[in-house]
Amino acid sequence: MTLTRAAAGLLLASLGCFMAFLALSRAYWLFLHPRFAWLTLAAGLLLALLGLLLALDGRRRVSLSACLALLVFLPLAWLAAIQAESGGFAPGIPGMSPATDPGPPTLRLDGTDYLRLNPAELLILTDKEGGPDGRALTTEGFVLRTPQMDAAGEVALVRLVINCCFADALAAGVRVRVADPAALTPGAWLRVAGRLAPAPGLSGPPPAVPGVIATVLAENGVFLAEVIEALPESEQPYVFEIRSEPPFAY
Amino acid sequence: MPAELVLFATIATAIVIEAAPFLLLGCLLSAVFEHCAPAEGLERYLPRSAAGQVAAGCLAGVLLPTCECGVVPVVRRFLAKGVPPRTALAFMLAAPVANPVVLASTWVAFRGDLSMVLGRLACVLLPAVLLGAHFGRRPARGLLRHGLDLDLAMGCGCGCDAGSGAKPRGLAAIRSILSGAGAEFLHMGAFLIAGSLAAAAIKTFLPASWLAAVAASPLLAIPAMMLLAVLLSVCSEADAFVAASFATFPAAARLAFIGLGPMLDLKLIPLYLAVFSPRLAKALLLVPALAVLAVCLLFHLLLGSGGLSAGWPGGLP
Repeated sequence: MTLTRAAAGLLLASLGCFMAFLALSRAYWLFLHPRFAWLTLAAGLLLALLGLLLALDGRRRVSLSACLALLVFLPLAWLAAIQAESGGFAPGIPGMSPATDPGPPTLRLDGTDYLRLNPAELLILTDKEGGPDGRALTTEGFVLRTPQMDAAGEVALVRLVINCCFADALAAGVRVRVADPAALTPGAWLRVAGRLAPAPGLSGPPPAVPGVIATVLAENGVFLAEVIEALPESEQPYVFEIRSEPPFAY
Repeated sequence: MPAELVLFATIATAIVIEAAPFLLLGCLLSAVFEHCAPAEGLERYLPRSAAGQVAAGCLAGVLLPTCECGVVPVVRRFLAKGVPPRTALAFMLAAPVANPVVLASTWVAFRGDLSMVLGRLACVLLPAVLLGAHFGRRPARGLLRHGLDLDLAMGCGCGCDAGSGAKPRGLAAIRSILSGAGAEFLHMGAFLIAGSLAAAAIKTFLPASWLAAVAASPLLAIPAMMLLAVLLSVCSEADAFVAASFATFPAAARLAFIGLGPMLDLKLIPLYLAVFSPRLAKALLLVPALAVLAVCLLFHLLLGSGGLSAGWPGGLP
């Protein structure tokens, strides 16, 4: 019994250490919204303390099944964390998303200044009352395709929006009219610049992203691309903040 | 490394890490409550009438906001300390929704659609009142699973001998509270992990095309969204944004998602079965589902597919 209790306490402390470690690493935001990092850190440190106290408290009895659950979970969590931060665990700042410079709020392409926004903000702008206003806009995201969209000469450009954690993520974005959808690989990152135009809603089911609950695309318009540029995979693929008017959280 | 395995591990980890602080808070509250609350019972601080006790449970979430992840250990402790079962059961079902945080997030997610906020409240208050009134007549000991005796279980879910002797004081009391909370977290956390693994499996392997197939008919969409709420096990503080995103589903179906999830999901089912008597556990699995189905069908009959407003295309904040 003493051995089981000690093992249970150490497993609990390990979970606490893992949570604290994750909250202090750059991999955190791949699992949860950065605003929860302090909460995870505090809970992790407290759990580590509780685990040690439990291991030393001779009055407590613990069940073997509880230990087994942690024995299954901890390696799985470690695997996920390693995959998320395959480049090594660089230190992060709790509560902050990765420190990438977003650059200026507008981008000059082919002599035109385009206002930058993320695909979820573009979605809101498209479906806003009054419809698209013809502004020059640019956004970045990854490509999704369906046979129906291919036939309509469109692809979807989306990013994952994290409200709380990755398990609650939604893919949000707009349809982009392009010359040849088949030339664009699903999952490839693009920058598109152009203007919104009114259009009927999507015909057929929305494209799916593995592991993501739903894909939400603007219903009242389509993005007419004037410039399309291929990008390397974004260092910050998720959207944690959405604004409905400038300055946008691009 | 297979991509599905990485996705499965990521989702399971995200759910556990997201829920763990709230479960820990519930266990800490439970341990503090065990140590500090008077042993002779708390019923004297609550209304004496049955209706008053149920109403107190339904409204207690305003003062003690909690999410479904941590509510079960708190309720166990309530029962041990003499909180009337009417109040404790009503609190368990209502508090994860009937609290300012979740009601505000529902209001925001559905862009001020009051019908969704009120409908969500109705979804949880109806089974809270029904189960609180029905099972509240029984002694607290009879509501727990056999072998989970009140004194033992509440001394800690892990079975310490707290309660059998004089309570420790000072630093020893703090240490006792913390190790008790740790033991209870360990016990409850096992069920959280089991539920999270199941939800992650569903999210990873359920084809998204299945969802679209059931969206067309309210009669199909409401139970489908109820099932989805159980399987996806989204936290009550985030589920409104997820539900709002199902823009092609009728409003009543989206209401079913946010109405049932906080009372019944893959995190809660193992907890109900582990903590409560088989009769109460069965009721906790059935009554909320039937109540939500009834409320949502009525909602659809009264307000149609769009609720009071046309909804929020995209459902994003």
